[in-house]
This record gives sequence, structure tokens and C-alpha cells, in this order.
Amino acid sequence: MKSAFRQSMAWLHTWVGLLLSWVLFFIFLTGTVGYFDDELDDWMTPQTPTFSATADDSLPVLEQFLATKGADLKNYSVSFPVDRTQPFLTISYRDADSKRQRIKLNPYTGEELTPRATAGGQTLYRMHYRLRYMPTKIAYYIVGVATMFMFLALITGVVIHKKIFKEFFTFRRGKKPTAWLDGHNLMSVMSLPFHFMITFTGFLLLLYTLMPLIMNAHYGEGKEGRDAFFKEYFSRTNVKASGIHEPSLELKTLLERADAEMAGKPLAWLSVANVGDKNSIFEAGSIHKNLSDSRDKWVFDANNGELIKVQIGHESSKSFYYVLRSLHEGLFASTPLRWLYFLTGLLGTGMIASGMVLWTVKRRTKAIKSGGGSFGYRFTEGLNLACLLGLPAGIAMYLIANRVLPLELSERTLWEVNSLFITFSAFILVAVAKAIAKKADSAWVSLTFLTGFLYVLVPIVNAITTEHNLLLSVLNQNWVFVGVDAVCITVAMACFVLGNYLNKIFNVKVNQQEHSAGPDFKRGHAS
Amino acid sequence: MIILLSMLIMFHALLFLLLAMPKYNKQISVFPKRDKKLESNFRHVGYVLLVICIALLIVDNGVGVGIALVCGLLTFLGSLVSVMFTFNQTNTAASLIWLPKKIFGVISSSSAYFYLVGYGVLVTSFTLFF
Repeated sequence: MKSAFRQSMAWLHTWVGLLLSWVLFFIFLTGTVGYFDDELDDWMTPQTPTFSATADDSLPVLEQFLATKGADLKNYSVSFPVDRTQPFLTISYRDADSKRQRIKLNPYTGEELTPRATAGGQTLYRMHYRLRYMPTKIAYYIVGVATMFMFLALITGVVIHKKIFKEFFTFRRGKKPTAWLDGHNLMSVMSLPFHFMITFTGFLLLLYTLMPLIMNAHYGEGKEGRDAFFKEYFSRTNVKASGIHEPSLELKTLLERADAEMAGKPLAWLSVANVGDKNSIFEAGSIHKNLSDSRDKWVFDANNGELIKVQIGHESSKSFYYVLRSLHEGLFASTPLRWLYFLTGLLGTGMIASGMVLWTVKRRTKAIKSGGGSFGYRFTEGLNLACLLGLPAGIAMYLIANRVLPLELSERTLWEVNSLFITFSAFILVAVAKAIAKKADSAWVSLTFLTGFLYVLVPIVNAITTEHNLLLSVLNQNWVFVGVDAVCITVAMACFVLGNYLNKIFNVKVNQQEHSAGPDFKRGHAS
Repeated sequence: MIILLSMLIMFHALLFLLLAMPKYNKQISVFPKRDKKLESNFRHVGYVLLVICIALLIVDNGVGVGIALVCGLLTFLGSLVSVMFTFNQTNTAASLIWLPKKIFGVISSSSAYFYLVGYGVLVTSFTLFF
């Protein structure tokens, strides 16, 4: 009975894993790269320097900006460069025509910064839940279903392992397909807490799309109901101007008030609404330092400096949501912890990839015996191959496109993203065509080398087109540029080693087949 | 510094747990003959070191960040131990048993306590002075 149960779980694990593995691989890889979204933003705007300055450092520039705008400026918000997510002094405001404007400034000199148009790391990060070339809602549903499949695969994966702790240390190198199975187990078991956490929290982030009925029942259906819910639940401050004039306090005085109330927490952003009106308010907020203090803010009356509201942490349900969201996005993570997030994300990606390869490897011997396998087997192998190599190659091309596309190109941002998907599509076409034509072995080798070549190109093109070659970046201690170049070189080397290894084992196989075919042929002649 | 110390403790804790399993320790020539007491001591000290390491990370970084760090480090070091052991079992085991063997001349069931005492002293010093 137990064995039958485990067998049925193994069957479920295999097919649930395979069916959405392509989407899951896409989600995991882009999500993993997304842990360094802000660093990639910096890398993709190489002419624009990044800054680190406190609110006090930036105050003279901010006051100068406010003075130039004069009394026309009624509503504005400011983000100070105190965190990796905010490399410039950014001011958002509404102009005389009520159009939203956003400018980025050097916090020390006030010089306006105009970074090159780029999709940046943010687009790559957003792709992991919004996908691309489809309405957001449909993407959310696809990602939601994939997340549920992932959950099922994780749970069935745990059920089918009798001795899960021993899997920690089991890795039998060079014994196929056990090496693939051990590798799959190792990557799954070691980072199992991370996989459960990331899947559960990812699912929770899509909660309002996947399970909207309770929200709809209380707030009504459609956009209006949704907006009403978000406004109330996330307590967004929205005070309308009264139309009665009342002078507001100087920004410096308001900042002193905020500083006194914030008890040493660094000021990361501020916002002022309805300047010079009776209903003028001033908000100040801190940065994500740990899991629980996200969205801490202090609200003051901007006319007399009176503290109206303090929001430190949240009530239980909202706190639960924010903690899980922070865990998923790693907003609180320091640099070493971010690297650990990246590493565990890579292991998750590797777990999905090894599962895909394992599916093929297990059926390979049978397929070779039957003259290359069924169409379904070959098509699946082609898709696996295309996905495993095409997406990393596409990401390399995305980075190269950032450097080589003309700066004045209209829709430059769009073409950066297109370059990723054009490369990905080309890989799919080649891989599937070759796999169907029973030449998957050569496709594995050539596409692995091609992916490695694209990754080698990234630091080379970067060195040619910018002033940030690897050596200079090391000398200038520009660790973002060093990091991207180093990761690309590492991936390229891994691809070359893998390509070489695959070439060797496939050649050995061909030789063995020829060798075993030889005597039969001779025997045929002899007889 | 605390993270480095935690990593070292976790690395040794995982090695203790690995060598406590007969499936793995019987393959290593430098490891003493199979001894149930030795295996049980190694397993218990492995768990205690793991608990010390988790406590250290949580005390130093807070509950949330501490748990996230534990998960990340466990993933990283567990994979490292597993892959290292695949490539060279003797040298991987030696990174745990070399020091007590050098000092006491032999690996016995009480060798594990050497690490427990050593790390206990180190953690106490760190807590007091940093």
C-alpha cells in the first residue's frame, strides 16, 4: 500500500514537474537575477554615477530645487540616496499642467542626471511574475498555476524520499543517471526551506488576483472596488486640499521634527502634500532594515509640525503579509545575504533544470534503442534544451544589447527586451528542429558553446563601449561592474567546461555505437 | 566576523552529521573502525553545534534575518560539503579530524567534545568582546 502510494507520488512528481518546468525555469532564473535588479540598473546606465548621501547631505540641493519651483509646487515627494534601491536624489512632483514629473539629481551638486534609456534590471525582475507580451492578469494566472504546480512538485518530492536527511550528502559523481538524480536531490533537499518559502510567499503575492472573492464581496467588483480596498488596507494617505490658505513650515523645520520622532532611524523618503493649504501634510519614512519594519512612516501636520500618525510595523494580518513579502523579495537583505538569496535561487533553478534533464536521461537509453525515440520524447528534449540554454543566452544578449544599441534609438528599452526573446526564440527553433531530426547531441554541444561565447562577449563589449573595463572597475572598486563581469566570465567558463564534457561523452557514445556496429557489419558480410 | 564564525561552526556541524552516518564513514580509511558510541557522539555534537550556530545568527541579526541567513548558509555549506565529499572523501573528513588527531594523537568518541568546548569558548569570547 505504502509503496503504491509512493509510486503514485513519484508519477505525480515527474509529470507535474515536467508540465510547467519551462515556465518555472523562466520564473526562477529571472527572479534569481532579479535579486540584483538595482545593481543591474546601475550596470545598464554606465555613464550615470550612483551616490550615497543622507537627507542632511541632500538638503541644500533640495532647498535650491524648491526655491526654483516657487509657490507653484504644491505636492512633491523625495527619495534620498541612502539605500541600494535609490542611487540618486529623486524628486517627483506635479507641474503646472498637473502632469507627473520625476527628476534625478546629484545630491551634492544638484546636477540633473539623465541615465540612458534602458529596460534595466527592473524589467528582468518584473518578468518573473508578469512574463512578457501578454496582459498582466493572464500572466498572473499562468504564474499562479505554475506556483501551484511547484508546490505540488515540492510536496510530492518530499513524500517520495524515504531518507531525506541522507540526501543532504548523497552525490554520486559520474554514475548516470544516478548522478543527475543525486544532483537533483542535493539541490532540492539542501535548499528545501528556501523553496517552500519562495513558493508560498510568491503565491501569497498573487493573492488578490488568484483569490479576489472576499475582497470583491466587501468592496465590490471591478477596478473601483479594488482601488477602494487597496486605499483602505494599505492606508495610503490622501488628503484633499481645503482651498483655505495657511502657511506651511519650512522643510528644514519639518525635517528636524521628523528626526526627533524617528528615533535614529535613517530618513529614506519624504512627501509633502497641499503646501500652503490648511490641509497640508508632511510624511517621512525609513528604509527596510529588517523583516518587520517595512513601510514605517510618520505623518505630520505640515503647518504646525504636529505629529498626526505613526505607522511602525502593522497590525497582525498586514504584518504577516509584509514579512512574507519581504522574505520573498529580500528587501531587508544585506549584501552577503543577497548573495545567499542569489545562490539559493540558482540552486532552485538548477533543481528545475536537473529535473528536466533527468526526465530526458531516464528515457534516453530506451529512445536510442528504438532509433531515436518517439516524436514526443524528441520534442520534449528539444524544448528542455532550448529553455535551459536559450534563456541564459537571451539574458546575455539583453546585456549586450544595452551596450550596442544606439542611444538615440526610439523604443530602445523595448528592443533590449526584444533582443532577449529573439535569441530565446532562435534557440527554441534550432534546438527543437535538431532534436526532432535526432541531432539533439550536437545541438547540446553547439548551443552550450554559443551560450558561453555570448557570456564572454558581455565583459568584452562592456570594455569597448564604456570606461568600465574589468581592470579599471577593480582599481576603482566599482563592485557592481566587477560583479557583473565576474559572473559573466564564470558562466562562460562553466558553459565551455560543460560543452567540452558533453562533446566528449557524446563522441564516446558515437564511437561505442560504431564499435558495436562494426563486428555486426563484418559478421553480416562473413555470413 | 560572527557570520564567518557561524559558517565555520555550521561547516563542522554538517561534517559531524555526515561522519556520524555509517554509510559514509566506513568508506574513509583514516576514520576509526565503526563504533556506535563514536557515531552517536558525532551526531549529538553535530546537532548541538547546529543549534549554537542558529542561535548565534538569530541573536546577532534578529529572528527574521537570522532565519533567512541560516537557510542560505545551510544551503551553501551543505552543497559544499556534499560536493567536496564526492571529490575527496579523505581530505573532506580530514578538515574535521585533523586537529584533534594532531593534538590527542587519536580519534575517539570524545574527540567531538573538543570542538564543542572550543567553539563554546570562541562564541563566549565573541559575545563578550564584540
